[in-house]
Amino acid sequence: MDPITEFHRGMTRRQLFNHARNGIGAAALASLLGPKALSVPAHGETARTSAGLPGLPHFTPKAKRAIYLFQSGGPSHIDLWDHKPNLTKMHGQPLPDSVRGTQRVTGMTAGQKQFLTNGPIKPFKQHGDCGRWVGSGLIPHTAGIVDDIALLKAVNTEAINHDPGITFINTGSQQVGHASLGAWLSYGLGSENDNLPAYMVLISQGTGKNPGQPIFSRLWGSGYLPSEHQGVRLRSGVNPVMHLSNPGGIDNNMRRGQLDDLAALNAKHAEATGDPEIEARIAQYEMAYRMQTSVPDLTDLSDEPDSVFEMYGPDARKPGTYAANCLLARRMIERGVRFIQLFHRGWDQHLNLVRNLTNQCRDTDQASAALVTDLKRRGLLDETLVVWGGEFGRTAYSQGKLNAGRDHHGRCFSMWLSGGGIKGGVEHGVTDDFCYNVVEGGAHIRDLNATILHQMGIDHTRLSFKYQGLAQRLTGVEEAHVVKQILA
Amino acid sequence: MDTPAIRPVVAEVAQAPAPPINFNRDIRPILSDKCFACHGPDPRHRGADLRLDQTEDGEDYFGAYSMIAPGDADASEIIRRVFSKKARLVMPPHDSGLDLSDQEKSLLRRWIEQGAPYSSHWAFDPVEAPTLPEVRNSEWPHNAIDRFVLARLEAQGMEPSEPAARHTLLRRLTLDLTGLPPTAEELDAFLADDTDNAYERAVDRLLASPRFGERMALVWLDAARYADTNGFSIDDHRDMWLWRDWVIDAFNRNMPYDRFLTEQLAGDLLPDATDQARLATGFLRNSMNTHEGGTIPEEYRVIYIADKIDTVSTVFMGLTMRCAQCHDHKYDPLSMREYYQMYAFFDSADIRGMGATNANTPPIVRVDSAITDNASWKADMQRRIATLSRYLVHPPELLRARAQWEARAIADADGALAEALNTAAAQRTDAHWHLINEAFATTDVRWGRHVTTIKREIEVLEADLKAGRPSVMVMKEKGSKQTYVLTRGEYDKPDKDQPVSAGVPEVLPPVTHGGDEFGTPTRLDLAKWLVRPDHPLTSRVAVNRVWQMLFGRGLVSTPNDFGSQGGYPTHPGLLDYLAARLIDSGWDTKALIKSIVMSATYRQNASAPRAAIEQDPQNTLLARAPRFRLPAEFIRDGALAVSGQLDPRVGGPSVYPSQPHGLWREVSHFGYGNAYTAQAFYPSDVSGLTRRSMYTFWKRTSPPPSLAVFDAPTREVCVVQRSRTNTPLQALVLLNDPEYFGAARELAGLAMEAGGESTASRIDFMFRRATARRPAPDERGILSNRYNKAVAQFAEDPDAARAVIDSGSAEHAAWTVVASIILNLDETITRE
Repeated sequence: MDPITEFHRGMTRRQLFNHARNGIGAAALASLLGPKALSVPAHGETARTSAGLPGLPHFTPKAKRAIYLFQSGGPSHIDLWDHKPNLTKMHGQPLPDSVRGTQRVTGMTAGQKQFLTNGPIKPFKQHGDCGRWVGSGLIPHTAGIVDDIALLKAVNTEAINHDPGITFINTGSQQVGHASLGAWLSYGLGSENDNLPAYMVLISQGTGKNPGQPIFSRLWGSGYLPSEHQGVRLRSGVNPVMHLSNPGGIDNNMRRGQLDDLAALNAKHAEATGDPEIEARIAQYEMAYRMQTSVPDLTDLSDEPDSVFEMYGPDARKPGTYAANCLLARRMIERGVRFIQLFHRGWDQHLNLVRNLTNQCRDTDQASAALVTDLKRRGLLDETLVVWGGEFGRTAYSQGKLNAGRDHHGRCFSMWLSGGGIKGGVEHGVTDDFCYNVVEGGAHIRDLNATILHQMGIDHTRLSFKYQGLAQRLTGVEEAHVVKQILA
Repeated sequence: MDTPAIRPVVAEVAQAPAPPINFNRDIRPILSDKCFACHGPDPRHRGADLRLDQTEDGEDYFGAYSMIAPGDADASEIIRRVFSKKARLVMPPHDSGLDLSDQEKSLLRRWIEQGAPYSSHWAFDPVEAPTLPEVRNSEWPHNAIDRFVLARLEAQGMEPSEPAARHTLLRRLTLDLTGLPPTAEELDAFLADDTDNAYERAVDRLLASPRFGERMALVWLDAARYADTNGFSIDDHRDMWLWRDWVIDAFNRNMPYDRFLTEQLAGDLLPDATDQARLATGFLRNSMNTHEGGTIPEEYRVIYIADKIDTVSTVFMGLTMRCAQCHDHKYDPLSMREYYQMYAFFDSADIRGMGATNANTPPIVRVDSAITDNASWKADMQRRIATLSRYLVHPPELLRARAQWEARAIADADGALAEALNTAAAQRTDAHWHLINEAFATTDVRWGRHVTTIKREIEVLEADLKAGRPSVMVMKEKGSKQTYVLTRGEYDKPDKDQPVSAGVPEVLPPVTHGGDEFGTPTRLDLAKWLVRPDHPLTSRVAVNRVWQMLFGRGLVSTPNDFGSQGGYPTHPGLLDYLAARLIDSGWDTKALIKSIVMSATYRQNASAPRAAIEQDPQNTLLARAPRFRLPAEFIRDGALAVSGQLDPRVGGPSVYPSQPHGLWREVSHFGYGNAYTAQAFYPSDVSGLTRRSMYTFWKRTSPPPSLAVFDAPTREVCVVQRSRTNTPLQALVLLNDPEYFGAARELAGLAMEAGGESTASRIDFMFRRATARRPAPDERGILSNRYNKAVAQFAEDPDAARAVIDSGSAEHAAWTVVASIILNLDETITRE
C-alpha cells in the first residue's frame, strides 16, 4: 500500500486509540478495530472505564491492585523508622554544621539561632524475625508486621514545603498541572470491574494536627490526561459517591423505568444521528445504575464480624476515620478496584511533638497494620501492593525548644511497601548518623513511583501521554530507577 | 499528536500513484517526534553534530557526508541507519523507545527519493492569504471558508452533508454564540421567518446579545486560569471577578483582539491608561500564589512569573515555552536564553508569588465593574453578609446535627434552655437560638470552628465595603532589574555569566520598541510585538481557538502547541485565510465568528451514516457538522434556562450555588485558630443559586464538583482544550444532583402551567424546550407511558409524591419524572 496512505491510516488508528478515551463510542471502535483491540466486551458495555491502553501491562504484573496509605504532612522518620542511637546520644547538642551543610531549610527554621539535635521521643526496639528497629512505642502494631514490609530509609525529594512536596510525590512534578499516580494507573491499566471506578480516594483527618495541612484535588486529578481518570472520592454518609442516591420519592423501580426509557430514546437518536458516542452514554448510565447498588454494598460494613473491627481498632466503626477507610480499602480490593488512595491528614508536627505525634500514630498504627495482615490472611496481599508514607520526613533538629517540634525534611525519609511482589523483612537505604543525609541506597520519589508502576506491570519510561509536545510521564524527564533491592 | 488526513479507505487503495510528499505534513512530524530530541534545536544534547530541524545545517552536513542524498535513498546514511537491523546502528536507538514504524520508514525513503525537499516550520512562516481553491461544485459554497473545505472533500471524492434542519441550526447557533438553548419564542420566530436573510438576522441578534460576551469569556477564563482563590496551599479567597467582568464586557463591545491582548498584557503601561485598562492586566495576576508557612519568597516569585510565560506563550502563540525554562527546547527553536528574555518582561514588575492572606495581594486597584455599578456591588456584598450572619446562627452543615442533639437534650434541659427547646423552631427568638447554640456548641467542636470561619468571611467583606469599591490585582512596574538565566530553572541559581534583557525568540519577528527610559523593551512592547501584522502565530492561534469553539476541534488539533510537535492543520489554507482576514478586519472577533457561522460548512447536518462516521471519526474533513457534548457550564445553564430558573444578571461578585456538604472542609485548613476564608462552603441565598455557572465561586483545590465531573478544569494552570469524557458520574449528577432534579421539578411545573392540558402537549412543551424539536410519535409514546405509570404510582404513594414536590401532587411528581428523563437525554446535553 502507498506509504503515505498507510502512514495516515496508522495515524488514524492511533488517534482512534487516543480518541477512545476522549470521545468516540466504544462500540464503534470495537467494530472498527475488532473486539479485542480495546478489550471491550462485545456487548459494548463498560465502555472506556474498563479499557486500559493496548499493550499494557508491559509485562506480567506482580500486583494487580494497589493501596496507597498516604500520610499527608510528613511523618517523622526520626521517631518511627530510622534508628540512629547517635541521635539519642547527641540529644540537645547542636547539630554539626557539617551535617546540615548548605542545604536549604524552610522559612520556618531558617532563622533559628541554633539547631539542636533532637533524639526520638520514644525508644526504638527490635521486632520481627528480621530484627527491624522500630519506634514501637509509637507504632506497636506496625512493628508487628515488619516481616511483611520492605522499608525504604533513604527516600528523598527536593521539595521542602507541603504544597510543592505533596504535589511532587503524587503527580511526579512540583509544577502544577500533571496527572496523578492514580490517574496514570487508571489511564494505563483501566478498571478490573464494571461496577466501581478504577481509582478511589478516601480522606481522613488525624488528631495529631487538626486541621492538617490542606490537600488538593490535583493530588488525585487527571492533569492533562482525560478527566475520567481522576480519582473518585468515596466519602462517608448517604452519598458515598457524589449524588449516588436517587432523589427522595424516586424508588428503584421508578429509576429503572426512567433508565429504560432513556436508553430507548437515546438508542433511537443514536440510530438517527449515526453517533456511536450515544451508545457509550447509554452504557455509562447503566454503570451509574450498577454503582447505586455496588457502592452501598461496598460501604455497608454490617457484614463484617466483630473480629474484623477488633483487628482494625474501634475507630473502624466510625465512618470517615482512617481505620474505617483502611477497612473500606480492603473491601474495594476484594471488589477489584485498581487503585485506592487514602489521604490521612495531620502529620505535620511542628509543635507539641510528643503529644501530637503520639496522637497521630495512635490514629493510624493499628489500622495500617491490620490492613496488611487482613489482606494476607485472605490471600490478597500477594497481588495487592500497599504503600505507606508522606511527602517528606522531619528534621533531626528541633524546631524551637527540644521536643517542641520538627520541621520538614526532604533529603531523606522513610516509607514502606508491602505485598504485590515486594520482599518482606528487608530494608534499603542508609542515612547518616543524624538521619539527615543519604549515605547510600537513596530512592528519589521518582524511583518510588517507578517502582510502584513496575509492580503494576508498567515500565515507567513507556507509559506516556503527549502534551505540550512532550511525551509526559509520571517520572518526568529525569532518570528514575526501579528499586530492585526490595523486590521479591 | 495528530495530523493529517483521513482518506476514504476504498478510494485510497485504488489510488495511484501516491501523492507527493508534503514535508511539513508528512515528514516533519516524524523527524520531530523521533529524531529532534538528539538531532534538534538543543545543542547540549545533540548527537553526531547532526541537526535535522533546520535546512541550513542540514544541507551543509548532508553535502559533506551524504547523510541525506536527495533523490538517492540508498546512498543516504539516514536511510541505511533507519532501516538497519543492527542494534548498534539502527536509528532511533531502540532503547529510546522511539522506534519508527514501517510506514514512517517508507515515508522517509520516499521523501528522499522525491528530492528530500525541506521547508521551514509552517507556523513560523508569515501568514499569507492564499488564493481560494477551485471547486467543482459551485453551488454549495456560501463563502470562502466553504471553498477550502469543499476542495479538500472533492479531492477525497467526498461530498458535504445536507444543511441541518432549521430548528437544529438555531439551537446550534444559539448554543455556540450564547451558551444557552433558544427559547420557544425564539424558535417560533425563526421557524416562521421565511425571508432569505432570516438566518443572518438570527446571527446578528445573537452576536449582539449580552450572552455572547459571557459565552466567549468562558473560553477565555480557562485559558487565563481565572479563579476565586489563591490556588496553592491554604487556597483562600481572592477577588478577580472585576477582571472577569472586563472580559465579558470587552467581548460584548467587540473590542478588537489586538486591543484585548494589549490591555491584558500591558494596560498599565498604555500612555492613556484608564482604570479599566489597568484592571485588564489582572489577566497576568490570575497566577496562583501561596502563603504557606516556611515558603522561600524568591522560589514562588519565579513560579509566579513562569506561570505568566506559560500562559502568554500558550494562549497567544501556541508555544510550549515552558520546556525552555530548564534547558533549550527539544523540538522548537526556543533557547533557554530566549526563555529568560521573555522572563525579563515580567521580572521588572512589582509582583510576588508569596501573597497576602485572605486578601488580594498588591498591587491592586479599586474600581467599579465594567458591567455592574457600585450600588449593585454594595447590595450584593450586604446581601452576602446578611446570609453569612444568618449562618452564624444556623450553620448549614450543622443543622442536622443540631436537630439530633435537640431531640436528645430536651429531656435533661431545664430553665431558659428548656423553654427555648420547647418552643417550636419557627417561633423561636434570637435569644432562644442563642441559648440553644451555646449549649450545642459545648458538645460539638465544629460549631465554634464554623462561627470563627464565618466571622472571618464577614470581616473580609466588610473591609472591602468600607474601602468603597471592589479590588482586583493588577500589574505595575517596579523599575529596571537585571535578569539572569536561571541554571536548570532553579530560583536560587542565577547564572551571573548570562545576564539577559527583555527580548523575543529569534525565530519570530524582532521586537521593535519605544522601551523604558533605559531603552529596554517593556510589556507594552511585548504586546505590540504580538499584534504585529507579520507575527506568524498570534492571528493563527486566535482563529484556531474560535474554530475549536465552533467545531469542537481546531483546524490545528493541538491549540496549545503550534510547534513542530503539534498537529499539522487539516486545512492550512483556510487557517491562513481566516488569520489574514482577522488582521485585515482590524482584529474584529465578531466578524470572524460571523463569517464562520454563515458558512455552508457550519450549517451542515451533524447526522451521518455510521459508515461515514467511522471513516472520519474525528470529522477532520468536515463532511458533516460536528456533534459533541456541551461544556459543563452549558449543561447546567441549559437546565436552569429550560426550567425557567436562570437568573439573567450579568457580572458581579461570584456566587455559591449548592454543592454537597463538606467538600471544601475535608481538604482545607478549616478549623485553624486564625481562620482563613474559603475553607468551608457557605451557599448563597436564593439570589445566587441560579446564576450562570461562570459566576460560580471557583475554589481551585476543590472546584465546583458537578462542573468538574463534566470536565471543567481546576483553573490552576492555563487550559486551552478541555477533555470531553463520558462517565457514570455524569449520569449520577444529571439524574440525582438536587440542582438537576430541581430543574426537572420546575420544568414539570412550567409544563403544567403553560404546556396545555393534554399529556402529549405537555411532553412536547418540555421536549421542545430542551431539544428545540417536538418528539416523534414513538418518542412521545415512551414518555407518555412513563407519565401514566408514574402518576398511578405516586397516587398510591403520597409520601413519595410529597418527597418529590411539597404539594404532594401526584401529577407534578410524575411530570418531574418525565422531565428528568428529558433533561438526561443525550440530545439535551449535546450540540448537534
